[in-house]
Amino acid sequence: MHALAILLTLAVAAPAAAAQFIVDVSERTVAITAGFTGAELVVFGTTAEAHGTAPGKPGVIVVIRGPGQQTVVRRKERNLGIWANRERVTFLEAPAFVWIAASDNLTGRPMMEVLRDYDIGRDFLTPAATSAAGDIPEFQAALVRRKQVAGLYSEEFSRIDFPGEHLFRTRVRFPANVPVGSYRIEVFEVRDDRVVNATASALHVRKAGIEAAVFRFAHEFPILHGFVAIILALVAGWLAGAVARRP
Amino acid sequence: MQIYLPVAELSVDVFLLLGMGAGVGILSGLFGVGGGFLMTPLLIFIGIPPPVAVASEANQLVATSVSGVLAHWRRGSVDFKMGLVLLAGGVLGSTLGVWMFKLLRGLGQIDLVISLCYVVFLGIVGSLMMAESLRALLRKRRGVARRGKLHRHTWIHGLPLKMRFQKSRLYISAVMPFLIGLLVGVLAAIMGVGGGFIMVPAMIYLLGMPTSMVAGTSLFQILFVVSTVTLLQSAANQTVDVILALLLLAGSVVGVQVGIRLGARLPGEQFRVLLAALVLAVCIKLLFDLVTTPDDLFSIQPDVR
Repeated sequence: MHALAILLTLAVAAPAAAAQFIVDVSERTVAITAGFTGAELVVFGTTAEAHGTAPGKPGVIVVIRGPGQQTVVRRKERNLGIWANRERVTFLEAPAFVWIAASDNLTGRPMMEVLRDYDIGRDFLTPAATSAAGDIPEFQAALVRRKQVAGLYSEEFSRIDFPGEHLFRTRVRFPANVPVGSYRIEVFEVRDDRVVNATASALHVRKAGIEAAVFRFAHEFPILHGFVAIILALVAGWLAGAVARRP
Repeated sequence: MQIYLPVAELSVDVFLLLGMGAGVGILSGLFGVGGGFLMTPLLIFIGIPPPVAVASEANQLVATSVSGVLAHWRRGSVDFKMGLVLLAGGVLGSTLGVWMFKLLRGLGQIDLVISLCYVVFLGIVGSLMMAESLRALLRKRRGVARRGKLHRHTWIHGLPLKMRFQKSRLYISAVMPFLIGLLVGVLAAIMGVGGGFIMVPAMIYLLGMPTSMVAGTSLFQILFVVSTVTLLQSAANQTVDVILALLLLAGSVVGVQVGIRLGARLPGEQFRVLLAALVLAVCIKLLFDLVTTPDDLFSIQPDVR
């Protein structure tokens, strides 16, 4: 956070004319530890053009995209009164997480154009070759909807603040179920419906501490992990029995 | 206080898990049941992915059954020979079950199959238990004690591979206990239960074992079957969440002791009716979820290969 404070003072002190497009994030790593309930990061920076009252004031779009995952979307159908999964469409490389914020002075159009140019939005999902062609848009919409319900896809307009003439800032909330992996933060400065500046940088979400150790152990040594799980339970159960038998 | 479960990959309230462990533990102590058939659906209700719920509950049942087995062993109420025949079936069954589990998970049908198994078995067991306990209540009120035949000769006695089980004073075919063990093993792997609720009635009514041997022997089989399930689920599906299992068992070891003490003071028959009602309630809730139109027909899952 002190980086933000420095930037704040810089923005106040610097002459309004020449500024650079600089972007940074409060943290580069989100660590999922035992008490993890989600995390909040601040993406901030300066725009090249002053925000002030000048015509065609700059807008900012921030896009954070999680790692691509092969994802299956299934549709339930009623069969003998019971709802069961039937048709499925597999999407290769569906981002595990998408967060988009835009300053409120941007109309829908430049925003959508930027998203399309940078492969963000409804068209970013590539259906696998195995799927039936007919209903793919419906399955795509369902994927986006389920991800939104899980808090993993969100589009937030007017969530970008401009505390100074050049300075912008936005808060990103990562929910507790945020997938691990490498994330990309892309920030665009938009003026007169055109992208005038763009940057991209990386962010890592990873398990840390005991959580990471347990997960890695379970996945890298699954058989040994099974034995350890059994021994732990045996010892715990035996101890409990032994304690209970004492008068 | 929230805790992040590393394998389930979500955060849950610690006290909720401890409370669930204690609650189901009290019921286990009261009625002498393992409680898996209540715990696994509860875990699914609070949002734990069904594969993780099933596998982690099997892990917890290892702890729940071990002290019971030791206690029965000390009392000499375990028929090890019968236990080993049941176990042979159980190990084969649970291997089969874990393999089916993996297959069904790939097909996206595992959640449905888990729910269906629960609806069917809780429905049968709940109804039988309800009928039985109501009859017991009525009999008690009328004060008539009826006595059944000591030994009934049925088709089971015609099966081959007869074995002598000295402790249970039985000379029966090994095929039947093997098959019972097999079924229980499959159910343990798919439903995350010990299977006592199937095995105990089967041992009494199908095999004709003396009731004094039933609890210890079934626990002996359960201990090894749930251990096998834990190992195989961990190896094949990586769905055992040790943190989840430890939290549940921390709650349940306390709950079981409370339940045992409560059980000594409370009237048994009335409480059996309550347990039957609870089993039927879980069954109806699961059935209801299967037949009502879901809010969203679509579901997503990262592809498992």
